[in-house]
Amino acid sequence: MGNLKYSYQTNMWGLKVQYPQLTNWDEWYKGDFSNAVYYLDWDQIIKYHIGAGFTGIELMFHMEPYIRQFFGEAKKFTEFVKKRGIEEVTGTFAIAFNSQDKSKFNEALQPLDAIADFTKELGGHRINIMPCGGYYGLGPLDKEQIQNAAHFMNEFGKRCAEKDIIPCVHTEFWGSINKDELERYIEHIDQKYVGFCLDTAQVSILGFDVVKFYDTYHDFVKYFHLKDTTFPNSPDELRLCAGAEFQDNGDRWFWELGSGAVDFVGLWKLLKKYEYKGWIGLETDGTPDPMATMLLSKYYINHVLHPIYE
Amino acid sequence: MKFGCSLEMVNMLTSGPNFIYKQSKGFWVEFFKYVSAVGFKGIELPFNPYNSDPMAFETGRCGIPCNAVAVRSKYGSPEEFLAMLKEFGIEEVTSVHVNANDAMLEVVAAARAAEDYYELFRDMCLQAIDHLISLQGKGLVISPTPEIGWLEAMFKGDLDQKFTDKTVEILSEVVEEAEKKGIQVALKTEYWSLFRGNKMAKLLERVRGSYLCPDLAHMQIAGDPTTVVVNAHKHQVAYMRLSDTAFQDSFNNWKKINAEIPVEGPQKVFCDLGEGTVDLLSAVQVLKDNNYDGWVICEQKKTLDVYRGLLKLGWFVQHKIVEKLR
Repeated sequence: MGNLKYSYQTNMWGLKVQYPQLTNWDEWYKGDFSNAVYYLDWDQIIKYHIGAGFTGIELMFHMEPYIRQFFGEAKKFTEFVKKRGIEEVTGTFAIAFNSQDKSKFNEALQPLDAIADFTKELGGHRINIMPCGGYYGLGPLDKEQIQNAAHFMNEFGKRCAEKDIIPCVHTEFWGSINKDELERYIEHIDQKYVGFCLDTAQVSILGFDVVKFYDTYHDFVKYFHLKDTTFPNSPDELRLCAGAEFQDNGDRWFWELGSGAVDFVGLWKLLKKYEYKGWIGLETDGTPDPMATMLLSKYYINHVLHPIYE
Repeated sequence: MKFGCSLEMVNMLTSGPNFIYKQSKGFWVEFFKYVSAVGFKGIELPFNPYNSDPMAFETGRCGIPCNAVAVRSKYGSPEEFLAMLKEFGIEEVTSVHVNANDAMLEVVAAARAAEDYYELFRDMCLQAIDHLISLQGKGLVISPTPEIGWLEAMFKGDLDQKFTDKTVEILSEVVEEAEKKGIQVALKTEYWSLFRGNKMAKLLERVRGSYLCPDLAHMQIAGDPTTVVVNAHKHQVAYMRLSDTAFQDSFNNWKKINAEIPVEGPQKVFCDLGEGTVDLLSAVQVLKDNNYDGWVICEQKKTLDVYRGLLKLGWFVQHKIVEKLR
């Protein structure tokens, strides 16, 4: 057995996977004769993950209501995916809206408590969480707002600990905890209750050297979102505008591992040095072809990274 | 009579390759050109102003022109948006579509009280009027209730009394406000609506000044004789929705949450025009015979390939509707 196990965020398949399981493939395929039918239900998508060697999955916060509506209870979704070979729903993704505003503390906690309950029901142990709202319309945050946001996360972390969950701060290049705020934010974080999800592309787009970042914060990093980018150290005007995540020209921010500027080889040497063990997540939202991206990423892991550390 | 295209044919709430590209302005700019290329001069836009519902949050902050914020932040201003459409050959935003189900999803997502639905729905409709005016459109198409499944779950009471009365009150206010601004309000049929079947006729009677937007696929699924109903209401039809289906609701999905995504039995609810069993031509013929001179809005709802679906739509409307009309 190796030290690393791989999970994959499911947000690359769609905002919503409409069907739990198709009842009649031909209803969609006959007459259409395209590949669309391969992407319409959880049943098939989970099998792609297993086939490619990813035995964990993650869910986005916006999938929660649909999981509940279609599977009745979150744990039934977990039973559904485990039956198909998934070992663990490793976690979820959420956003700490209004965390910078002390006066909205309780209001802001409410949806996150619900996500924590959802995560626990799924059997997950981490919530990858954007530490505050988006930069556009909110940033730049002042010193007090950054402290408030960190305090909020610490309190949320304590509540999560009761559920055997750790929130892992997941910075976004378009978030209000941005390049100039991130390290000051981390200073205020209680690492007993809160971890960091190192999203290699997001951190790189912000302008950090991913390898140096991990070297500095390896004790704080409890999880990863591995993905590549061709936009390292991206300028403010691209990162901080309205709807920055969706480039107006349709270009993509994120790529499969090995297709961009992230130094995964350097990172893997540090994983070996610090003896990282456990789940590692991949997230390749934005790909035009999730199946191809998943397989290309796994090829890169097997043939480039595993010879260094696995 | 003119034929417009509903941009709700681009189904954002599904899974498939390259779905994220459809959230970029770049996709929509190209798609508008294609809409014009297949012959449509008018488009109907969806409208959703919310951001607590996570799906609305995702779709409302990108290049999908589904609310005033999106139009301003991604296209500059309503004027610039319209100028771009005109440059591409689209002459008009005919209408925007407000779906009461979106207000209910906001209530659920924000963990608000069920009673808050009314104010949200009212506010959503009024915002849509302003949005429509900014886009120089003339039609506000309203799906008047959330899914029955949601109503049963959230209100649990006598939907035919208080909920209906309150809905009539809100819609009447919206119609009054719209009329002042030269906007026509058309109430759209859905097979999962509280006002399915002949209840819609009663609603139209109570909401004075409202028009009927017959969504033909929805009507057929609900068991309504489409041509008969269109004929019965031919003087009050506006923005009729050409949509097709071969679906039979044998598992009573109309009563369930997510009625358009069946879990049991047949699952494909809508199909491309001409591939279902709805008598589309007869419904349009009724309007022509009545000298209808407004827009008919065409929609390949949930088509699997929006580019191919659009080409098929353009061909179908021209060759199987326009050229066949007597």
